[in-house]
Amino acid sequence: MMLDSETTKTYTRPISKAWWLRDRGHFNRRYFMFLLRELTSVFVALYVVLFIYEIFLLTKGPDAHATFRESMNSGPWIAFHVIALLFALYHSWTWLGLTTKMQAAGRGLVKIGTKTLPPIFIALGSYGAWIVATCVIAYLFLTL
Amino acid sequence: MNYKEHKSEPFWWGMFSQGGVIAALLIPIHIFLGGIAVHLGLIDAELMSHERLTGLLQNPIVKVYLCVLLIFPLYHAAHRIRFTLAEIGLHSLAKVLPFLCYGGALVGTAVVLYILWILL
Repeated sequence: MMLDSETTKTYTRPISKAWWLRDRGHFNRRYFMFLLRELTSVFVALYVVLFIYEIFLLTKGPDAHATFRESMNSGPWIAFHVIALLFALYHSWTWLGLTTKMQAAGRGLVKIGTKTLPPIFIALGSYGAWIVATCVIAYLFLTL
Repeated sequence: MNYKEHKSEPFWWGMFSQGGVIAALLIPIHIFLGGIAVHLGLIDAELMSHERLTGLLQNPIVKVYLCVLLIFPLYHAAHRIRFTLAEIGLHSLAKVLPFLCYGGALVGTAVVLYILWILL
């Protein structure tokens, strides 16, 4: 017998509006960290927009840009950058950790012959790439 | 769930993924150098001066690098913000959010390209 889709409904558990703070009366750390991880993108976006604005000001001449740089050299803006950096680092940590998790799950992504490469090598690869990229950018910025 | 996938969905997921990698690898060092280190006196303030930065931007490789650095993370953020806003309660806006978020990223792309390749 065919079930009529009009009469059957999938049960969905009601979810509180603030599920990332309280779920069924309890604080769930995983939900909270998930939301923090998603929130990292807001800080990345804010920083990128600020960066774009600075490049725009470069086209407006030395004075406009110097004024911008001066305002950046203030407590609130330095605090913003420190918070943005913490979120950006959390993004890097979770994002680059994904490949390691995939390697650890199931049959893994990278194999040599029939053997699955231990996840630690994937971790070394992705976090290593991060360290190398950071050093290269810092070196070029300081020496170019 | 009555969610019908639009055929452009894989493209936005792809951009999300690209932007995620670029943001993970490159954004922290930029925030540290230009937003913190220079103000704490860890690096020479001249490194962020108008003269120095416009000098760097003469180099087309620097321009291409900045395009990659600034454009892809916009799509990454747009994608995450789109889904997170719906998840924290704005379900009613689920149909509008893609337009707002990806639209914002598209506008950002145009602005970056315009500043770097036309204004500068």
